[in-house]
Amino acid sequence: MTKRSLLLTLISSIMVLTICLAGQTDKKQTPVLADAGAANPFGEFRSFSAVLNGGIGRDHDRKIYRSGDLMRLDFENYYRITDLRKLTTQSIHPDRCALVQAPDAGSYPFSAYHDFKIGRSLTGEKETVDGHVCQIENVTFTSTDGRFVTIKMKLWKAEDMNGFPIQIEAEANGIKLTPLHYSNVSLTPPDPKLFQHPAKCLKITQGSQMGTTKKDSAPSRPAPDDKTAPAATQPPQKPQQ
Amino acid sequence: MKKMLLVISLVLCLSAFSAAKDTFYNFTLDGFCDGMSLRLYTPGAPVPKILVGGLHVLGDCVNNFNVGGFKHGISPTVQYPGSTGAVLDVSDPLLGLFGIDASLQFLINTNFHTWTIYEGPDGVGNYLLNEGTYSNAAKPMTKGVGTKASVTR
Repeated sequence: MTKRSLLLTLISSIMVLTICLAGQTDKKQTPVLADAGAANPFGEFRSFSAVLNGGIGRDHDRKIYRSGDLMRLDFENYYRITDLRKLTTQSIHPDRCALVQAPDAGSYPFSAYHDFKIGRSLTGEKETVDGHVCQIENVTFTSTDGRFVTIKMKLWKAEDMNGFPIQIEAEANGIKLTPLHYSNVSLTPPDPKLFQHPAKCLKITQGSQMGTTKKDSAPSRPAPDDKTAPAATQPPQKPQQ
Repeated sequence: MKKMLLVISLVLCLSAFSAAKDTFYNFTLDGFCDGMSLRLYTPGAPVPKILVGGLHVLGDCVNNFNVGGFKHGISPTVQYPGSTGAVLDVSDPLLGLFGIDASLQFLINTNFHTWTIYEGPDGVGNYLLNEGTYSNAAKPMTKGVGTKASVTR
């Protein structure tokens, strides 16, 4: 009887340990910006503004701004700010705000492949795009999670804009994505006010509606850009289009 | 006596489920040319209405696209700002039919009349594509007031 109990205890312990270890293995890892291999070519441009056409959102003349880990995208009567590191999006409407747990499509590829292995090679070729002489670079992103996902990109890097990739062709596992094209690129840091919250959106909780956040209740998650953007009292910036 | 009451209650419940009428939703996506015509129904008693079939009407401002999915609860953190509760979660083949190898998923909240679209373009991520509100429409649906489709934002 004692032996049997001991055996059962041992088996139970092993099972619990196995489950715990499996849980740790499956635990989603936070993407790290320090990429394995070569540096992420999109990490080089942390402050800019541009007009995006194409991409996975098939955007048309979408005004975008990047400041650090934040990227703002202007829509007709509202704007979104994607945190490129946390992969969340603040959706700022005139009457409501919320934190959405996904990056905006227009933030691609700046929000993508942070934990991928990166290979880069300049082809030595040059082409002119929109009047800018561009060096062409091939970039390969390879997943490190064992899923064998490979993203291949061809970047047209404008020489007169510190190599900003004004045109990008990409394919995921051999399937072509909609090409991206950036125009009116400015490497001047955008106005910090563009990344500030309107006063009524200071505490954006997950899925909260503006004006409904209880002052005395702690948000379920802190506003993602508390560190990077000071609180603002100004109204939201007027959309650019 | 108690057992009998229990059986009667069960029979009544099952009858109620089996007699549950389908729910139909017809709406246009505000500011866009397209809309949805959806049917929420039960796969059979005693399962409640959880299946969704229907059309993404004028999904590209011209053609209709077959959609299907489920009603289920989901976190408000992936819904249109301020929306909570269950959604009609339908997948749409539109992008694939235009040669774009990407998933397209609509989350429609029928209580708040809101919608959100997600796109999975690369075998890696799922991106917020578009979001908005909707207005009920007459059937048959006519083209929305917008000049572009919701998937082209």
